[in-house]
Amino acid sequence: MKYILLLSAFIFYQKTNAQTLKDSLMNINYHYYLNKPIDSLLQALPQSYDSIYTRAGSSAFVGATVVVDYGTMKPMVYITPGTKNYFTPANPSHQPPSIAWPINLVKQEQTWQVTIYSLFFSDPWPLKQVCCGN
Amino acid sequence: MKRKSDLYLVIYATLLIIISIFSISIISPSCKKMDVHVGNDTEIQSRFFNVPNNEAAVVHKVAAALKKQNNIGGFIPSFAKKEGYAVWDKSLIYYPEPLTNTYGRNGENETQDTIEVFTPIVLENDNIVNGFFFSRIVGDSVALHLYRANDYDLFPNGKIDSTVVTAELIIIKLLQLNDEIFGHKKYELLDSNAFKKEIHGKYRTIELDTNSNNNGGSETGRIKVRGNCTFTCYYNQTPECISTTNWCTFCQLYYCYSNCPSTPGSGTGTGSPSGGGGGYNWPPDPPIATGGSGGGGGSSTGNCIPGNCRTSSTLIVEGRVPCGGCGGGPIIILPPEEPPYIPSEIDTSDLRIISEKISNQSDSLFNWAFLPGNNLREQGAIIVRKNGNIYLKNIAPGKEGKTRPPNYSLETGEELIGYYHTHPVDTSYKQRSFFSDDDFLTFHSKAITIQGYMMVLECGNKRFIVVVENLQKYNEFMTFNRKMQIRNRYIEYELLPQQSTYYTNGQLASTNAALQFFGSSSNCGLGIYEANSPGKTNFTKLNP
Repeated sequence: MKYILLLSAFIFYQKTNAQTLKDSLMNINYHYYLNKPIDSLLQALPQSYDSIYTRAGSSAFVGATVVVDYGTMKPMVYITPGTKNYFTPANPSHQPPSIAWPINLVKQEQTWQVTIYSLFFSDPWPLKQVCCGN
Repeated sequence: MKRKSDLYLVIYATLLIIISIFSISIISPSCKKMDVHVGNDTEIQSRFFNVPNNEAAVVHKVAAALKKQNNIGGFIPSFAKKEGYAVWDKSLIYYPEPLTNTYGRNGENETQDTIEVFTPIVLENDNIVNGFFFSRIVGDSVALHLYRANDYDLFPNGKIDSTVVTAELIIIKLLQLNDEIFGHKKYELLDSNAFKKEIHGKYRTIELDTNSNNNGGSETGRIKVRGNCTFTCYYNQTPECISTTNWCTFCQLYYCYSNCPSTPGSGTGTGSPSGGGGGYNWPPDPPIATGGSGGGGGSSTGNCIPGNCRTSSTLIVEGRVPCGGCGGGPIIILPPEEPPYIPSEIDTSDLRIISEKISNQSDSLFNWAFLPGNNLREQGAIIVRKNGNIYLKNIAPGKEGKTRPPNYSLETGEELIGYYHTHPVDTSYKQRSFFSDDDFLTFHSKAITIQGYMMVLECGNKRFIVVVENLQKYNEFMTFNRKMQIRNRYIEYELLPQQSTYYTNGQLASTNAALQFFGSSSNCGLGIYEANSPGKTNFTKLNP
């Protein structure tokens, strides 16, 4: 019984936290950041993220997408660059994403698209998608 | 003498007692009856107007406006007994359009001060919505309307995005409200005139679809309509179906599957302001077509003369509810539990037909990326069907390794059957990976509700198709954990590097990684197919 109560309290806490984060994420004017450096958007996002890293685009061996990961049960922000001045999208040698598309380089590129995903069934899927820059 | 007077006294006292008892026995029942009557009405009214304190302010406003009408006409006690009680906390609230949405309009200072509220009415101890109050609130003004489930058929049949209220629009709203209160989603549709264009056949099921994606709220108000179409489907023949809006290519003499057009606006509230989505716009009532004699104008009780229903508008005004309640309802009945729907396996000849029809467009879009200046950019589109034709629509170039979000807008008569994109990665097909985790996320937004929904990937040397073969199985397979895994790119970063061909043939490796994740179609509900160049129409199932 004690464990159930603790678990319930934990889930409630997680959900409330996620809700607050979701509200913060939804209130950002992402259109403003289109065609501006990804770094400027990263600074505007809630800073409570677990990690920021790069991934491939929609094709496994071409990059990159910047992921802002707020942790399990919480929304996740995907930022796609529209320029490739500081990195090379193709990854023919199948290097790990952090090597193929270093975050420090990719975040200097300009924002093309922003997508927020939430896994809650009650949320739209995706939660928000702002597209696109030049 | 004294004994005589005592006797008189006893007789007098006895008489007095008898008279008192008699008087009480006469007076008491009438007093009691009156007390009960007054008490009931008060109790009914108190119960009817019992709006939870934490309910949205607009709902309190609606209740107050209705109370004001009741103070004039006193119709609520009778109305509650005959029509039901308002379920205030299940009101659907539509606030004005938000100032910012996902596709621009940001910064526009557009405001609309019209709020629309739909409050269900349910009879005591009943389990179906009997009607609803529709309230349009502009500033302090509240216009109250009453729509009875029983009278829906007094409205004209037509589209749900019509400029006037139609029977179909009332049905949709009743289904949404039923879902809000009772969680009912499936009904047998009894009225053969309703949704005539969307559903064919004798046995017709109507189902509320609350899972569709939209940008405004948690529910789109869309419905999906299933109907038995055995008499209209001729498998592997063309035209397969009489209807232009079914999925008979896949129903194999068994099932039709279709989407109705979405209701105007999008998004619903669930009793709280935060639940509200985009603006709504409940249209005006059509001109009165029934009754003929005119006149009428409502009553304090809502009674009406049979055959003379709805002689007034739906407006509640001057302390009177409109006449009605004698229409041809009910619309629907709750169906008995249906056995799980397990469709026949997709026949590859269906995929061949689709692939053939989009083949030229698909090759052209793929090759476009290799033209000078196009920088290997991906192309995305949706696949639609109209009048037997299948084609790509809303084509838009993305970036290298990234598509734009699909644009799902359709024209009248068009049906969405899938999502399409290309993977034009250099000149070596080995880098042209299979569907990525992101692609599966995009696919999932529609696939969770649409049997037969597919995504097609053009890789030049191969064309891949993933199709929902068993919607129920697919929904069971896509647990929260699996969604989380896909979101975290488990296939791409955990399974893909494990493949033996990871460094030598990325396309094969990524295909095998996805197959490892999804497994057999009997397990995940998805059929995964590939067809090879040059024709790219002879599909082989990769996950039998």
